[in-house]
Amino acid sequence: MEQSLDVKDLTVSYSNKIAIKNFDVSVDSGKLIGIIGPNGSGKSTFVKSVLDLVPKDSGEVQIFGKSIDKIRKNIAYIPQRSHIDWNFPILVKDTVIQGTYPKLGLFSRPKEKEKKIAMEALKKVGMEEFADKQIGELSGGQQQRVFVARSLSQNADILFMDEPFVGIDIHSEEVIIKILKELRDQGKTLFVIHHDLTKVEDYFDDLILVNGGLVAAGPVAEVFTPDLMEKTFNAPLAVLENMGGKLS
Amino acid sequence: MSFLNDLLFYDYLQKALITSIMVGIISGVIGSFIVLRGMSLMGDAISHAVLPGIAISYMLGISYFYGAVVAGVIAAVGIGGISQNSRIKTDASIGIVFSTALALGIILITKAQSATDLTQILFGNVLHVRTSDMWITAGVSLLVIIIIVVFYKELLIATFDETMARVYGLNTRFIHYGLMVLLTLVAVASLQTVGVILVVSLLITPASTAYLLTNRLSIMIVLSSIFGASAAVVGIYYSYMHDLPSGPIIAIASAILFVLVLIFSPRQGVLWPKLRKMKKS
Repeated sequence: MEQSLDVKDLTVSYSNKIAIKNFDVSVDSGKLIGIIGPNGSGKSTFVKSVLDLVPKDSGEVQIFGKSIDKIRKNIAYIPQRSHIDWNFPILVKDTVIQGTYPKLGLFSRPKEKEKKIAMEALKKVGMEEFADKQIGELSGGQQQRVFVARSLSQNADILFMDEPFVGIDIHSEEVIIKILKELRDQGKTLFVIHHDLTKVEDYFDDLILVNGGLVAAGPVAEVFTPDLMEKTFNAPLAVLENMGGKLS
Repeated sequence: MSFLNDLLFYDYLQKALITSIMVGIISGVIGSFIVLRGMSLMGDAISHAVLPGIAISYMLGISYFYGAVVAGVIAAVGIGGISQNSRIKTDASIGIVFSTALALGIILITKAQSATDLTQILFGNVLHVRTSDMWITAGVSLLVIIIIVVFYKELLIATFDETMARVYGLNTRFIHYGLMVLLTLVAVASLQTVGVILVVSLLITPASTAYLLTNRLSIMIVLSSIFGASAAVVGIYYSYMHDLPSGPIIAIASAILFVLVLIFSPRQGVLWPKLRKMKKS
């Protein structure tokens, strides 16, 4: 199987404090992958350095065997909801159209074709009737669905999501996970930063466990184990089970 | 009306009117991005920071335009440099750079020129606009509008979701400094109309007023330009009729419009929600 992400000996630090150290991982394509770890474990840093948003101290990252700069337009990214200014003067439909920007390139504007792509993506997440609303008028779950629609209209082969399920309603969560699984079945590779253990087994194919570096990575059946979880979260099993994880 | 009559007869009044309408428009355009990016203070800082550049241009006998642009860009880079390379936060580094530049500018201008010039630069005197100033403003306006129209989509995404913009390969740092250069140009173009001290009012107040009225960036930019231009025209009128400095009049006119919209805006205004509540109860 083709390798989607290949990370070798990645170390990243912020003002002399090491965030992740000697990170090695490689992931097959066509998987839905959970990036799991406690707060401050470096999982966001891992994703940011993979996407070259923060400088690396050392290490190498390749996506589909290429350096990130050659493949950027093919990467979709969904930010944490808290990183967006929800008062921004923008409508739902115009947010979704942004997904078509990367492939449009400089100088060209979205036209009828792009508007159609965006409306179809909105339908897919069940939000077409909200197309003319300002994004701040939506609930948290609806906002997250709009951003999923935006990445659908980008039609990228790799998708990164930062904590998509935080603070959203169950219906939205179900809509989103169904779409993520469909994308996976179409051969896309999806990375989801996730900080609790609920539904890990239902949602993901593979896990990357992070705690200041790589703890373990592999299929859920192999790495979602009591001692690896204890190692990832530095917490005894009883506490973790309270977080909702059914540990086998 | 004597103002309209005079407008037909006096060349300098026409120049003043045309220049200030252009300044109102481009301040509204750039101001929309400045407000949404949370960089209002940056606008204030850069408009003050052009002062030493103007003074040095006078001393060298070159057009004030060049010195002002160089000084504005140095200030933008300086502010970014201090906040990125130290623990000093952006608002503090803005305060340091802008007060230093203003102080330096006042000293240099006092040395180089008479005090009346300083007052004009600080508070604006739109009735003294020369033909060359008008052409500089026209050039700046054309450049600003072309860049905003051509790169609208990039400016939108870099302002709304910087991370996505960076992930797909936009150089958001370049966009930031590009906007700072445009901001400097607009500040320089506004000098004659509103003066160094009040450039920020024309940048921020019309854009904020527009922000209260619409949910689309494109409409916000258009409204903001209209409000800016209207305030500038009001400024000219009172400045001419009552012999007052144009800058403060423009600032007050913008502020009155802002307060009216703040109270009466259908969506964001403070009045309607209260009335609705009263009806319900």
